[in-house]
Amino acid sequence: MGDKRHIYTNKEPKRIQKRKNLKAVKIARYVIVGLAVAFALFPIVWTVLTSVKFPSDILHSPPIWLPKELTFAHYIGVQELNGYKSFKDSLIIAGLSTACVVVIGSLAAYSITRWKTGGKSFPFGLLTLRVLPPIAVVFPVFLFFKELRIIDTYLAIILMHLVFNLPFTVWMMRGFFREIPQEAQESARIDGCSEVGVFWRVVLPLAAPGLIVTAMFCFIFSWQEYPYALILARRRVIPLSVFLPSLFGQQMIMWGEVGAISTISMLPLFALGILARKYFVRGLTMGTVK
Amino acid sequence: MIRLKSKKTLPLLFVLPTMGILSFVTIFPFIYAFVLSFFQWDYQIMGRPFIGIQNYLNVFQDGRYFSALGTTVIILSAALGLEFMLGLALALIFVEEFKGRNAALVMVVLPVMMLPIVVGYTWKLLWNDQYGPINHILTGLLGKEINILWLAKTPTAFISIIVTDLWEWTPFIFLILLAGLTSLSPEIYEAAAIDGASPWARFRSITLPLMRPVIGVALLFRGLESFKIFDIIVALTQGAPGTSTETISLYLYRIGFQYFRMGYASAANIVLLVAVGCFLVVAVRLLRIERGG
Amino acid sequence: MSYENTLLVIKGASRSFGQVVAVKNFSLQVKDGEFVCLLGPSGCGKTTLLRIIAGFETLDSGDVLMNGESIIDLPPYRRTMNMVFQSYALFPHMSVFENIAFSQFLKKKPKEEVARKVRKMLQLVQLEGFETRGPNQLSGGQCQRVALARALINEPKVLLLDEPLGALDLKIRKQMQIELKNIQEKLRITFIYVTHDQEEALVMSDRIVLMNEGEIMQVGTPKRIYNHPNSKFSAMFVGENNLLKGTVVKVNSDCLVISVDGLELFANRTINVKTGDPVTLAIRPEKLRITGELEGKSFGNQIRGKMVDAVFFGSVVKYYLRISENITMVAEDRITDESNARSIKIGDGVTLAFTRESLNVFPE
Repeated sequence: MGDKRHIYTNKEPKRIQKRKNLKAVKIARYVIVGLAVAFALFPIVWTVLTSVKFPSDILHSPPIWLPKELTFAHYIGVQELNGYKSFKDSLIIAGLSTACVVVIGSLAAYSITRWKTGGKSFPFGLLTLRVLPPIAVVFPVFLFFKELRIIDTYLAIILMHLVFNLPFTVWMMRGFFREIPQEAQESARIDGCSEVGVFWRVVLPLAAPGLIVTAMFCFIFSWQEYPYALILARRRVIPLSVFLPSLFGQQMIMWGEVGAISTISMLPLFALGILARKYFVRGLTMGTVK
Repeated sequence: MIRLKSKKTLPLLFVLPTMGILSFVTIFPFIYAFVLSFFQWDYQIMGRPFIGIQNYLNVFQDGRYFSALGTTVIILSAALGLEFMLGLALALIFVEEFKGRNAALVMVVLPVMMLPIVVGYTWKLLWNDQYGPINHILTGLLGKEINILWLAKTPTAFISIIVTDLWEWTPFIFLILLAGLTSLSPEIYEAAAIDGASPWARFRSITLPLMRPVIGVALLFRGLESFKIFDIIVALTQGAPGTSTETISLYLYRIGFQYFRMGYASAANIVLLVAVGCFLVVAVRLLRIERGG
Repeated sequence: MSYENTLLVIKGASRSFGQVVAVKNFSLQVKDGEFVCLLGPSGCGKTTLLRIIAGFETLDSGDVLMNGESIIDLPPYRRTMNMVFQSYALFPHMSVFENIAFSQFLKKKPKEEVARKVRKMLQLVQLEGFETRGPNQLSGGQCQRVALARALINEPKVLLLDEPLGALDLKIRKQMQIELKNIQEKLRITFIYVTHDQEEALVMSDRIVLMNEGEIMQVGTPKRIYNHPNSKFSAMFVGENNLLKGTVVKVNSDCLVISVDGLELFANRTINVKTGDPVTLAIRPEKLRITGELEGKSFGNQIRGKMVDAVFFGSVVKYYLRISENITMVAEDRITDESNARSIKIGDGVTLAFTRESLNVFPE
């Protein structure tokens, strides 16, 4: 019994020490997470702030953290620079190219999954198309499109975005189609459904969530894309990513307008990103890691 | 008979649009560019004389081409290394449950959603020596006047580019690693813990080996993306000072679309595509072996 | 129970997850070298309890003592216990040898000693020659043997097993049950074994702890629990039982008379009830004897019934007998010789006979 008491007296400090350690770990974790969040948010917040600061507050040394007065003049300035037309262009390009790519890509993905069209390495071969440097890819395309006289049209940029989103779509949809049980398709066939009917009535509805997620990502990628648009856009069609650098051509940089257009460009993506949160990793890695 | 025929044609019909577009926008232009790479076609010079493989020979003697490649690799490896370490550290923190985890996760991941070109300009303002908050913050932290011309000098311009890249893409690697970590069975960790493995031992002998395929995927994907780095450079430095931060994408863009040396640009592009293609084949092999084993 | 060779004591352990109470004021003493099964339906808190003992879960209140000392503040690896998981939890990137040797290398034991110990363990679980294989080259049963060897190489005082045979198919499971029991008897290590399979618990354990909704329902030897369930839950969960609802009509000095749907049955007076109390009766199918005629007095209960169905199960036949308007009972008969198989046909009238002891009574 004496032994036991000895052990117990020894134990109390240890228990307290352990709690303290746990607490320290907890605090350290919150500090790190806090720093990471601050680091991630700061530039975004700064951009949004810049868009509502008066020019004199933007170009102020030392920088002003919280402006006393706010202005929305830059958002009006963007209008004068035709910035909202660029927003519309981006919407048209991202929207149309997404709609096309989802239809075309799903068909191919279905053919590849159900009938193994093109063999085993075909989908992977498609995927490699995506990782090639855009500048290297777009160069011959530019020459080709020039011959076709379609530079500076929606068609040119949509086509190009279609090309770079197609491998992604095929790869993603193939993953979603593979998850649909073969039995569902076979029982539909036995019930007298045609192959096209199986695809349209059974497979597509079942893969609808995947289809929506894939479409979201295609939209995001198209919206973000810069190098292809830079080369294929001129005067008539100017998506946001190309419009923004044009604000730097003048002698004076219009930081307020830059902030405003940046803020506007982020909004649809943040909204989509939060909606597609669950599928984020799958989209980013094309399903290689779930 | 008709049924039989349709059984074979339908699969092809389904892939036809994809193949059509891909070949229309990739294969034909490539053939065109390949042909072009044997001609001298500059906007300053009349005519397009056939010069054989001269363009290719010029590429291999082009110091700027290789220095741009070198710049790309330097930025790529520094950014990738840092992004991996930061991403892994964050993933190890976020794999555990804590209050406010989901909200923090969404916020940490936001940078990935931004347009890369917007990221570039956002940071251009942050790095600004007079009006940017970075010098200001450093002054406050270090207690003495800091006035660095971040984007105007060579070493600091690299630092700026790398930090900007890191800000945008660490969340990407972080998310992949986090997905990998959460897919590991907790029971394996418990089995190791009951065997007396310390957190470090668990990390080294279980987490790392089991995460190798995931880490491989993350690094490969990010590495390939990083190799294309263009948007951030255009926004931040445009290759300045001099051509010291000029990446391969930026240089290729300039040859083709600023100097209008179409024949030479075609050759330079084909060399790069072949190089990336080779790298890809090797990388995928390695990854496959890794996964198979 | 004496404290003499008590190894592990759980005192008033409670644990909730939010609104869900997983373990409620649970107390148990486990003797050194004992094979204890925690048996209960899924979600009854048995796995949580096991994880509390292992140190993977914390307690809201209560204590866990080993050799008289509280261990709740010790990390899992300092509790001289080890655990076998249902999913085996083998390290997929290590060979069988490396899996088993993992803890030994962590302790920086010399190579030859480790190799010797691993060999001994492989011998114990009958996996000699499998050293270099990877876990994905093994069958489920082999994986579980490796997991067992990995847990035992530390020479734990207590081995915790969380439904270790749950993922195996029936034949291998039966074989592993016997083997596990043999290994336990050979090493004389205390086993705490979680299962939802009552048959497994009956076959293997020295003592069964029957749990439901975080609480102990009954503790006892398999024989005791099988023959004398103390509640409707025990009677339903362990083995097959005919459950009948009745009312006490008479309380004698040693026996109860209970009315079930108009029939009068006699049972030993094992519980305190008074006339008019509703009760539940349980009787095992194999305790029912079917005869054509009335038998001697020794059976105590004899009722008439009509056979409605007979189902052949190989070594036994189950008869479904209607004894009243609403009640059908199941009787089981062992076939020892095909020639003596009964010649009762469906629709025949029969007599069911059973002793007073075999009828268990619980208050409603």
